[in-house]
Amino acid sequence: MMRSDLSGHLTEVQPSPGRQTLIECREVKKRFRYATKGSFLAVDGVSLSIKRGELLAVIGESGSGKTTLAKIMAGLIQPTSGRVFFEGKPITSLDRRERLNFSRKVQYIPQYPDLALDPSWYIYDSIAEPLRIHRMSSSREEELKIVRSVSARFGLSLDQLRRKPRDVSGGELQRAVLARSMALNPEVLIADEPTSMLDPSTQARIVRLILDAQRELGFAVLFVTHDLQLARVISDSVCVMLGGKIIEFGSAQEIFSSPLHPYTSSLFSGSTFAGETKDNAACPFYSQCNLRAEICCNSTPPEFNIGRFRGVRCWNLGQPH
Amino acid sequence: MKTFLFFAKFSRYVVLVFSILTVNFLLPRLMPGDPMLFIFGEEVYGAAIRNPDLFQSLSSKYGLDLPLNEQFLIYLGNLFRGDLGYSFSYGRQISEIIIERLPLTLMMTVPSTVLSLIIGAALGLSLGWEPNSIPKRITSAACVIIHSIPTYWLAMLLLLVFSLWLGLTPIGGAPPAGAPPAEFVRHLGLPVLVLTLFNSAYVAIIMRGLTFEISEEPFVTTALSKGLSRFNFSTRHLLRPSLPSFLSLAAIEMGFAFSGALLVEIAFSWPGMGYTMWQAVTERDYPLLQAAFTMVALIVITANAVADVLSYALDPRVRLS
Amino acid sequence: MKSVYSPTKLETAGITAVFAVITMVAISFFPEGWFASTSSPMPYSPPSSTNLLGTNDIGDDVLRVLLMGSRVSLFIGFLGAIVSTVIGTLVGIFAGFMGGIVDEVLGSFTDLFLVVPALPLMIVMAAYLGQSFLNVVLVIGLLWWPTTARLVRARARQIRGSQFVEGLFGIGAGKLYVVIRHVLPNVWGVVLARFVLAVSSSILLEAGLSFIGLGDPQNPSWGMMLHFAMTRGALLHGAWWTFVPPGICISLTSLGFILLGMGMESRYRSRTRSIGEIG
Repeated sequence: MMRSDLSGHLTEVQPSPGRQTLIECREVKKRFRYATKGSFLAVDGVSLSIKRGELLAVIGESGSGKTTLAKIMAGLIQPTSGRVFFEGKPITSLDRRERLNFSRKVQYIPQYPDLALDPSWYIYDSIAEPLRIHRMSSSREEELKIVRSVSARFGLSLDQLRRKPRDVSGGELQRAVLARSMALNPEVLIADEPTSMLDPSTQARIVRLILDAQRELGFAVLFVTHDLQLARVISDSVCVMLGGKIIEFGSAQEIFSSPLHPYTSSLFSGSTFAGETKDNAACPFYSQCNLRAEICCNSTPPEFNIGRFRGVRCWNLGQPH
Repeated sequence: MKTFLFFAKFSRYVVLVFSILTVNFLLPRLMPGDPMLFIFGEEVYGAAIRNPDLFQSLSSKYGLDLPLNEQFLIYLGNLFRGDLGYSFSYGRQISEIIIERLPLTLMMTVPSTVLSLIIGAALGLSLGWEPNSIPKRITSAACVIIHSIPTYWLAMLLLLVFSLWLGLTPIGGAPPAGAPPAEFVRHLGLPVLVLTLFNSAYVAIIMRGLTFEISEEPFVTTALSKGLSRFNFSTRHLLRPSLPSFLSLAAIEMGFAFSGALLVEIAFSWPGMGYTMWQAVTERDYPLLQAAFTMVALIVITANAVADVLSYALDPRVRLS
Repeated sequence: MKSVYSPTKLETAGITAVFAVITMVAISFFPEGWFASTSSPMPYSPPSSTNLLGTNDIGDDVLRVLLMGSRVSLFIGFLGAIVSTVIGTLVGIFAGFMGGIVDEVLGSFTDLFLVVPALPLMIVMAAYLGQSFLNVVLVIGLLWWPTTARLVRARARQIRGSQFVEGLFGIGAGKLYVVIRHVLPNVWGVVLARFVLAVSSSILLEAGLSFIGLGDPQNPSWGMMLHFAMTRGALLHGAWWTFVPPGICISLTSLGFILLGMGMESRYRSRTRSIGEIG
């Protein structure tokens, strides 16, 4: 049932050239330095854009850099190099008012719901807090009205709002976190594995709530996940990350029906253990790839574009054997 | 890198000694009132006021008519020559008094420190391991109680019972310099007992906490399941890993213990540094008070530096890198 | 977390002791009938029906001095603890939340300060400042903050790095706002527990300073009673009733606050253990 629902949804949000780009990052890299010595390149030259109303899934295994990418897109951490644009302007050069506007329109949902809210605050206050910061309600009554309506959308009762985070379940907490972001009526929701810490039935419910809200309110979603089935069902387009790079992207249909990168296909068939392989080869999948050639070790594959919205970083496509 | 860290750690103590000397220098000069009163002490000041020649010679010796920075150099110069000034209440050079009395303080603090480190560590180790048995709970509570009793009061009680009522120990004071060692032992018995009791209690409280923390770590379960004997287990897996943090905590605490020893000296009229400070306070002999404080501070800081080096050498994480 | 003490027992014992002292302070304001109000001509007279705890070197009723002293000891204990806790909290939050250079400088300053033997430094400071009630409070308050600063700093750093603070910056909250509305409420538990422990320390420190003769002679505290017993020969007279009661009072009061503070600390720790440790 969910499937048929979504295919209808898919056709109406097919990416089109006329669609406005909300957030875009160009060639961003992020290097984390360790306190002792050495560093780790978490994101390695990623360019990506989120367009109005679309649901873009970023899939990859642990350590592929997807959380870091999500935080960069949300403006929570600064990239080491490269830039992030919001409505065409680099976010580092936004003035105070524009910065506030950015923080209202772009909402980030972290992976661990139990760490997302101040443990000493009542959930009601946490949900109302963004409204207070952005002065979006003129009175307490109005604030109560907004919080109530947005909480009702996510199935939170007034009784649950009167509790503190440690007194509610993980699923309820994640719904509160969602309600808090939705209170600001955002245009982009960046959800970083919002369901990975929950049990399966709660997961389905949370995803359902996000999708319903998206259909009604029309915001764009960047959905970071390692759950392939979920990505297949919900997303319009998909990026696959490995070793800090996007190695394949395209519409969800195309990616799942005909994966082009050997890593993507092995990911779908469940026969890969990548993530651990951090050798010096130019292609992050080199050591496990069946189709590897010498060039894969020596030079980084460029992005080969196929059609208008499909790209793969694999030498096999640019230079067939 | 290792040597660099070592020196960085060590330079802290140099900075500390320097700041203590600076505070010592500034205190008498910046306090409300005539600095000469504080620098010479009450009695000499009184005489100098009446005698212009003496006034002149004294103030030129300390350079009191010079700007502060030059005074500071003179102060440091005097210090490095071992000239700590003149104590009017004793009618002697302060350096002589210190040389005579410092060993008396060490005679009391060194044995009690060594004893309490051994007793306290052993006690704390056993209290922290499976801490919930009734005898262990009672002992832990006793440690907390002992730690909140003022040492000097305990000293007064012991004097009352053992010296006054039972006549077993001398009522106070120190034997003359050439007296047989047995005399010293007779005089030092009670003070060392008081200090050992107090410090062991504290060391045990610290060690109990550290042991308890470590015993919760997974490697402890692994070690036990390998079938190590209790003794091997506690020395290798409990004592060893907690030693570095134990040492640095114990060093800070030794500063506190030293302070306690000062007050115990007063109760036993044992003419060490604490007794000297007490007399200096009573006589308003500021130069003597400052010199005594400087010596105590130097000893405590040195003890800390030594503990730091030791814990550095013992820390397996440091040695590996 | 299972600890040696169950928090409730700990706190009960602590609260009982603290209430005992508060009762003493209360009685000191309504002295009628508790002790002989006029001083007896007999110095060092042992406990009797007129002087329940005997008299001291100048013939004053020891019980009266003891009750009056409870005010001084407790008052200095609280004031010293307030000053040191406020300084420690401000330094700790500032260092822990700002991070970077500010944290480096304040942090190493705090660490250095911890190494300086506190009581001798207090003795020197108090000797220069002169004997007054306010000076004792100042000396204790200004020199007893580093432990609090260290703990608050650690907690503030933990909160600074936690996800919910990252998220707050994400929704456009300012630094000062986050400090006041989110960091303070979350360090509050640490601060309160430290405050209670600081009361215990200040009472002990005040007693030590007074014992060495640096207390306010106008307002004799328990420590001052020990000082007089030592210097005016009560010990040599065997007049135990002049120094046993104040010592018991000092020990019990400081123990009471320690137990209360430890209980609060372990209660707080068991509640916040899981928060903010990941990420």
